[in-house]
Amino acid sequence: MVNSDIKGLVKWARSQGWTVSDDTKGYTRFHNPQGDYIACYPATPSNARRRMADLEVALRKAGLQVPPPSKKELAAARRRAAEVTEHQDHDEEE
Amino acid sequence: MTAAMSDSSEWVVTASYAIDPPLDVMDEWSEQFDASVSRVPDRGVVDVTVYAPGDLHPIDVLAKFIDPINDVISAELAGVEIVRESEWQRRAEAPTIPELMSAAEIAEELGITRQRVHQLRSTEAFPAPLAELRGGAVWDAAAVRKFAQDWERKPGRPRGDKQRDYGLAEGR
Repeated sequence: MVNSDIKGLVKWARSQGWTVSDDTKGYTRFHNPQGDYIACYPATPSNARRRMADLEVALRKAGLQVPPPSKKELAAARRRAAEVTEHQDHDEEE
Repeated sequence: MTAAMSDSSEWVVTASYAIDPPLDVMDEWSEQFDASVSRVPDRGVVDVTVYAPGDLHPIDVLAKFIDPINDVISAELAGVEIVRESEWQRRAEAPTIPELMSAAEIAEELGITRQRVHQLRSTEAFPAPLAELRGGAVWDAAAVRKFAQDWERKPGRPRGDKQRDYGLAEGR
C-alpha cells in the first residue's frame, strides 16, 4: 500500500515507465525504466516534507521528467489558496 | 555552495560517492545517518543526503556531518554539495521541462491566426521551436511570451497595390 504522501508522484513515475513497489520493510521503492534502483520512501518518515523533497530531487537527478503544472492545475491551486484565505478571514472575524 | 545571505533555513548536505552498493547496504546507511540514500545511474554515484543546523558554518557542517559518513562509506568521494533547505525545496518542486506551446496555442496567446504564426516563423525574431514533431512544432512558452513582449505589431493588411486599388474602387 503506497504511502498517501507520494500517491501523485507514484502515479506520475509509473506513467513514465518507472516501476514503483512496496517491500516488506515498509519502503516504497522506485526503479527507473532501465530497471535500476534509484530511491525509496519510508512508510512512516520522521519528517515527511523533507523525505518527500529528497525523493523528488533524487528522481529528477535520475532522469524523471516533470512537466510544469497545467492551466487546469494552476487554476485549482489558485482556488485552494483563495479558499484558505477566505477561511482565515472568516476565523479572524469570529 | 548556493545560499541567499538572508536565508537561515537548515543546510541540506549531499555527499556523492563513486560506488554501487547493494540495496541492503544503502538501507543501512539511511538508518545509521538518518539520511536519504539514492542512486544517480548516469553519474555512477550514490548520493547521501542529510540535514544540518542552519547556524553552522558550512566548513563545520562538513566536519560534523560528512566526515562521520566518510568514515563508514569507504569509497571515493565524488563531490559534496551544501544548499539551504529553501533551495532544496525549490528544486524538489521545480519542473524539469518547460511549458510547451503548439502553433494553435501561440495563435491564441498572441490573438492571431495559426497561418499568421507560420508566417511569423520566417521572421528572425520569432523563437525557434524546441522540437519538430509529426504533429507539428512545439515552442518554449517563455520564449514565445518574450517574443510577444518585444513584437511590434502592425495591425491591418500590409499596404500593397491591391489594397490601394480596392480603396480607389470604394471611393468611386
